[in-house]
Amino acid sequence: MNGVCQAATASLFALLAACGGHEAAPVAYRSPEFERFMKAQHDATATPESTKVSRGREVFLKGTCAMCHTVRGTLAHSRVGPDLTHLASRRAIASGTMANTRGNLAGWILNPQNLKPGTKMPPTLLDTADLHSLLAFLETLH
Amino acid sequence: MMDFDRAAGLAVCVCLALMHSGCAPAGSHAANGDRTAQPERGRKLVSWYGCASCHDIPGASITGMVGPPLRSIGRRSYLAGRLANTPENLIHWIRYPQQVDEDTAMPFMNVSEEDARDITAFLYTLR
Repeated sequence: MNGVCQAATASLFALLAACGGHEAAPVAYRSPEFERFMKAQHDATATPESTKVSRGREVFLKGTCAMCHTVRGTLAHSRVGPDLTHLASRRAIASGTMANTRGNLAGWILNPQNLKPGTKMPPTLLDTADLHSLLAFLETLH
Repeated sequence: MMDFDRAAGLAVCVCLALMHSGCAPAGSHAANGDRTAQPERGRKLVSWYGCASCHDIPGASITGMVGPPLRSIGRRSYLAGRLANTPENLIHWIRYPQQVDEDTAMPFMNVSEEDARDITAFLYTLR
């Protein structure tokens, strides 16, 4: 019986963690999961592999993103904006304004002022191929 | 005593059902082409996928200024500057923008056929 209960509880937590609705609803972890979550959050990001992801990493580091954001394990160390080391594991972006989906991320990067007036993040003009590469890179940041 | 095994089993089923829905706005999940498109579900999907982060779409909670406004898209002649504005073309453009224009800024968002149909049904209410 306990096994089934634990499986049910684990499924529920996995669901909560995977769910990416617009609301920034809190996720509840039990002790072992919480320890794993904390450890994963402290780890550096994995090294990218595909050409597109590598190019996206270059766009991030050589463009303006790295001037404000940190991705641990890379040369981006700035603390002006949020640490993006585990961006892809988040359910929402822009302080809970929008679900963390590729479309929202693209709109946010390109023109954040329009989506959240007063945000400190400036608009970024990117070549379209660079935009797609950057999105591919950001999606590896689990 | 309450039958806890059954309750737990039910909880697992509910979880799996919810996970199958991908947490996107709920609606019919019939896989066949006979399903009637649901514009109201499409309206919710527009926010979830992030269409409204780049486009000005009436009824959305945010107003994107990255791509063209989609007000009156139901009355336009062309999509993406090159496709005749038909439901099938709009569905294709939403699902595979790079197949229509490899240089477009519109990202591939892994939109399912069903979701694209509902989004298209919603967009055609904008006249």
